[in-house]
Amino acid sequence: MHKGMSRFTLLARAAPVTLAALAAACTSHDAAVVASAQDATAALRRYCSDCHNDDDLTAGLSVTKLDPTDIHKNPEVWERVVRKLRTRTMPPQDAPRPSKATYDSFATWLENGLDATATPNPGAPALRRLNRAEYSNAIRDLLDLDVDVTALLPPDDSAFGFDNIGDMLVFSPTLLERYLSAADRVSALAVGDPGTVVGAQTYTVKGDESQSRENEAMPLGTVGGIAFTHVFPLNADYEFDLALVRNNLDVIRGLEHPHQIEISVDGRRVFLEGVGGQYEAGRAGTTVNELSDSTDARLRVRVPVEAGPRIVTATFVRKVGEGTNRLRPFERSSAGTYDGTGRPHIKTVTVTGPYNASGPGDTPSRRRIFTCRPADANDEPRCAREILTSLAHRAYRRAVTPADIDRLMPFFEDGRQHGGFEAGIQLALRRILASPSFAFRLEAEPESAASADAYKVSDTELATRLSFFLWSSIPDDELLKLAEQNKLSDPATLRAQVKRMLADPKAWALVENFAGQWLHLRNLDNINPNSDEFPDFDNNLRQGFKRETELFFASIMNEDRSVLDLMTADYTFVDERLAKHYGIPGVYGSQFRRVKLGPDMAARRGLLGKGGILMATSHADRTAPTLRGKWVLENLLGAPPPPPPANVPALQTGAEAPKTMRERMERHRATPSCASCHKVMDPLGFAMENFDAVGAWRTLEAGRPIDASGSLMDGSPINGAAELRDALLADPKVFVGTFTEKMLTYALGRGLRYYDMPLVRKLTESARGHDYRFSDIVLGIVESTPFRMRAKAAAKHDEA
Amino acid sequence: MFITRKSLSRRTVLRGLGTTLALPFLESMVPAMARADALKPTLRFGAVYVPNGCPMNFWMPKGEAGALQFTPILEPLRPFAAYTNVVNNLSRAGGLTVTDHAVSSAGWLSGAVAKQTEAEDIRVGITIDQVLAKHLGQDTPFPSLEFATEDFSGYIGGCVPGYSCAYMNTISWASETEPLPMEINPRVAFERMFGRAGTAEQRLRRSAENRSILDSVADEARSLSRSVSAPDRTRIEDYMENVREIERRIQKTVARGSTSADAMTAPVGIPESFEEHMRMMFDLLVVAYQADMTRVFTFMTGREASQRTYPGLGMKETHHDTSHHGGNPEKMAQHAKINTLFISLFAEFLDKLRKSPDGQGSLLDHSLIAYGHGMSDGQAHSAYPLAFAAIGGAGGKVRGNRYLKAPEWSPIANLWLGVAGLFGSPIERIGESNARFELV
Repeated sequence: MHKGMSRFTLLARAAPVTLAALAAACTSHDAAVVASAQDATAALRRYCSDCHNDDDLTAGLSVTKLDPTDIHKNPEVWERVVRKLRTRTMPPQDAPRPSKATYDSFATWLENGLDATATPNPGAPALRRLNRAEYSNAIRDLLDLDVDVTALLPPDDSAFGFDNIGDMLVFSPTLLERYLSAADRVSALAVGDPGTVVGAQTYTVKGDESQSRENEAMPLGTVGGIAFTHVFPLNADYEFDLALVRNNLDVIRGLEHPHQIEISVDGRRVFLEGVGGQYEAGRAGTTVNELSDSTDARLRVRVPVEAGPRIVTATFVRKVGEGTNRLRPFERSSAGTYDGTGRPHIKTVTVTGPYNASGPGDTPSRRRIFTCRPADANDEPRCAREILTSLAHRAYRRAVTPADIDRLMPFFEDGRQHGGFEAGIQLALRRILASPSFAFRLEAEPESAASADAYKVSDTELATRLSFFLWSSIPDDELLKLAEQNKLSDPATLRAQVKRMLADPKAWALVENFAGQWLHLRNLDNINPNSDEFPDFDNNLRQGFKRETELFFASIMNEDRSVLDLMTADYTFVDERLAKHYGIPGVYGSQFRRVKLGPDMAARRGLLGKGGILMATSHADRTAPTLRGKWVLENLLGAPPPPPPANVPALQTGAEAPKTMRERMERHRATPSCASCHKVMDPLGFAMENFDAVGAWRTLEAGRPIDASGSLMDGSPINGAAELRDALLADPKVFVGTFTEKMLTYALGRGLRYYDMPLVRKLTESARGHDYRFSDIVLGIVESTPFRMRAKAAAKHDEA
Repeated sequence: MFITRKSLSRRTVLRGLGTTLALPFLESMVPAMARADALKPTLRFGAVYVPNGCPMNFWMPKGEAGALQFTPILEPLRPFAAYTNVVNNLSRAGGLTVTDHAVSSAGWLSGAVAKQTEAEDIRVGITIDQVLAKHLGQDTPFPSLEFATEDFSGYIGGCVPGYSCAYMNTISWASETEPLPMEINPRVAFERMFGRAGTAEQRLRRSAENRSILDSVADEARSLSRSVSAPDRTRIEDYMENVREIERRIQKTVARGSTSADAMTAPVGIPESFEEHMRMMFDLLVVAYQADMTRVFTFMTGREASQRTYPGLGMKETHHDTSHHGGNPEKMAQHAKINTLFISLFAEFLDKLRKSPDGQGSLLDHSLIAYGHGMSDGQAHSAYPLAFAAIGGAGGKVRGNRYLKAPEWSPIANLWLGVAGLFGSPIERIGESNARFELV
């Protein structure tokens, strides 16, 4: 770094040198290693300017006027050059390409120059509202209440791969309306509104959820069914109402033989009823549909349940001597219309209530809210003040002002007059949840700040930044307290807090929201492999895929491993279903556990072997090497391919249909306008061809052996996923840099720009000493200028 | 949460693919609805969007303009021939032959070209539905409703590179920079219209409480805006605009008096079957028209590049993959099948509009519903010619049974400009309009 800097300064002071003169000087210069501006110019001329010149302007770029002696004038362009060099994605494979030494030295020389001249610019994140995940977590942490946020708020627009980007998190009338109605529902549920009227909620068994074995969270000795957590609003009677799967003639199927169905609440059986066989004797109705209606009508019970969250299960009792494999040609025996196993299945469970409510009960939310009880009516305002101050403090994430309380108390009074003390708290809580201080992540701008100044955010603002980064939620009491004492910005305290927060279960938010989006795990629910091609695929496997990669990412975080382990670790997490899919013997039951991936399973190691990622990058009926290659370029190498050209011609359809994926793709790449990018993407994906479209290992396709030979970005050959993985880590800085970039984007809630790249390199470099430990990167981000500071608003987005 | 546990609603959810029984959901609520003023017909506008284009030879009639000819995909519209105008020769995106998914959905109702950007400076144009909402929507609780069927949170990396996902997540823009979120959950849509469960008194009280909350929130926002940066202050001002809009909506709802939502059966949530989901969303739109909750809607029946599969139609690939048929006749026929499914479900909706009395005629007599795609052939992402149909009498202003040809390469914006005129909106330009194409 220092070397580069001094050389640079020296050159910058030298008189301007013309390109021609530089080129002439280079003829006698060994261009293999780039160590000076002259070398850089020579390399540009030799490898870049055939296409990127003033006439052709390929990709809108000309390098002819780019002056390496003046890097700071064009950092944005130079950063693009660096990326192409580091990922070897330029020059094109069929053009003359630099040697490894030239690639590396050129990139390093440019990076050093860029880093030396970088002007730190923290940027100013746009004022954003909480997104859906953050809202849900905030409610959990504020009120000890888990809500189904998908029914409360619409999904958020994302950008740069994440849905917490400030520019996208704006309000609209529809959103405000939803926030208002969410405040109403959440406050009623948390307090236990005695006026809650009878309502119904239906839980549906997913169509491809396997129904032929004991499912996770189910009582022992049961088969299929559904388990869910339902929040019961009051101590009252509730009705549970089952509906069985019907065929396309609207008739319940599988009633030839007797079966028993049970419903349990928190493990306590509240209902047991037989269906099928002798149990159907004396059914009312004459048509088959009426008979089915009368069966469903019997599957209903009303029982008292105490308020609060409770686990409800509805399932079939396993019959004595019944094997799990009976009539089960495939893994999938489903609640879908086309199931052929001849068994009845549960389709929906509807919970209706409350009836005959006897009171709000003793729920976690009420314990959290009612930290005091008024001694008498005169004491009510005092106690209300205490409760509301505590709630507003955490919801607003800052010290509560008298003005805040003055805004809340009229709502308490209004509610109290209408329905008593608790109704007053409920209405005031509703007002808190509707507050812009809760919904927005506000950061003050000191009036004293001169324009173009950068300034440190306050300790309380830092606490909010930190908790939304690591927990996707509001700060807890410890964090807030330290912030309010202005201790959080102390470096040692900050580091200790980050470590504490990463160790907290709430850091699962990083798994769900950061890894879930970075690795595209959130897409899995949207992907439906074709059931003709993959008859064994079921929702249990889909959820297993998600769980596996989540647990894997979490293990890197919790054990503070090197982020390189994300690519190479020799273990993974499986349950019986997934182990079977992967061909790992000796795993029984629905609990996930860590298993070793020995040398024979080397291809499974790391992210490239995770079934979920392989499925998320496939078509419904076949693999998609292009998508896999694109995924690798985007998410592991930080080098997204350009968008497809505007005019995509139709693929040539020959007389004989292609048999294998590779044949298909070869045709694809025979089209010149497609070839330029597909030549880079497809061969990366080819190396993963041993994994089929649902991530299972295979050695044959259409009767022929799988050919897993591919090539890297520079055209050098590789064979199989393990070789691909090793090649991608040849320069670990590329993968670690990409990881850092993604995490920094997520942490800051804005897209990264060229002026952020020196920081990304610095973070990557400083994590190297500890073998790229996870917490080093997180800490580096938290301590960085853009995370700690804010530019005065004038720091607008520069138009580039 | 007004569910009365009727076995009917459960059957609605359970019904298998391919059956055509009438949904009880709608009938159960219709009698309870407050109806619009019967004396003067109210004009209504709707727009139904289908992603991934269509194989044009299965969609567009051939030959000269004149009486409407039905093609395989258009066949389900035959019962509504007298209301139907099919328009050919429309284009989008400044006459580009090919574009992509993001600009297709963003450019359809705006008739504008989406700016290529990831986030901070997204820009398209106000969409025709919002032009009309500003014009027709001020007397109803909702100036407009925006519906969709796909949860886009499962589409990470599924946006067109270089373009903001916002361009694909909605087809409705309140201004050139304000995408409007679309609702996919029938239950949420229902409760938005009719409020949370409770007695008439409870709901009236809730409305009053919401109004005082909004007053207080506006006051708080005003004081907060003093200490933040200038761009943040702008955002808070926008937020306060939203507060005023919601206050207006509450006033309208309260003035309307209590709709007896208790008598209705609320949908349970998002049905697993695509067909049932579509039917429920359409039924909610019928109800919204009937109850005069809104006079303008947009419905994005699928997201561009949709990964939805249609095993019931006997095909293995996703909607998007099928649309890239590569000229393979078998795959083109499959793509046509998907399009036929969409238009059949749309026809069920038209049938309900026609059967809903409205003043001297039916809702269909007094509406104009645009139906179409943002791209032409999905294989090439071509932007010309767009498949487009307008169905409905628009209060007697539009006669049907016609196959119209606009001048070649007419921007679809020209058609929107014509539609704006039809509804009495004075705008002179929209998107890339360069002339006015009249449906009358």
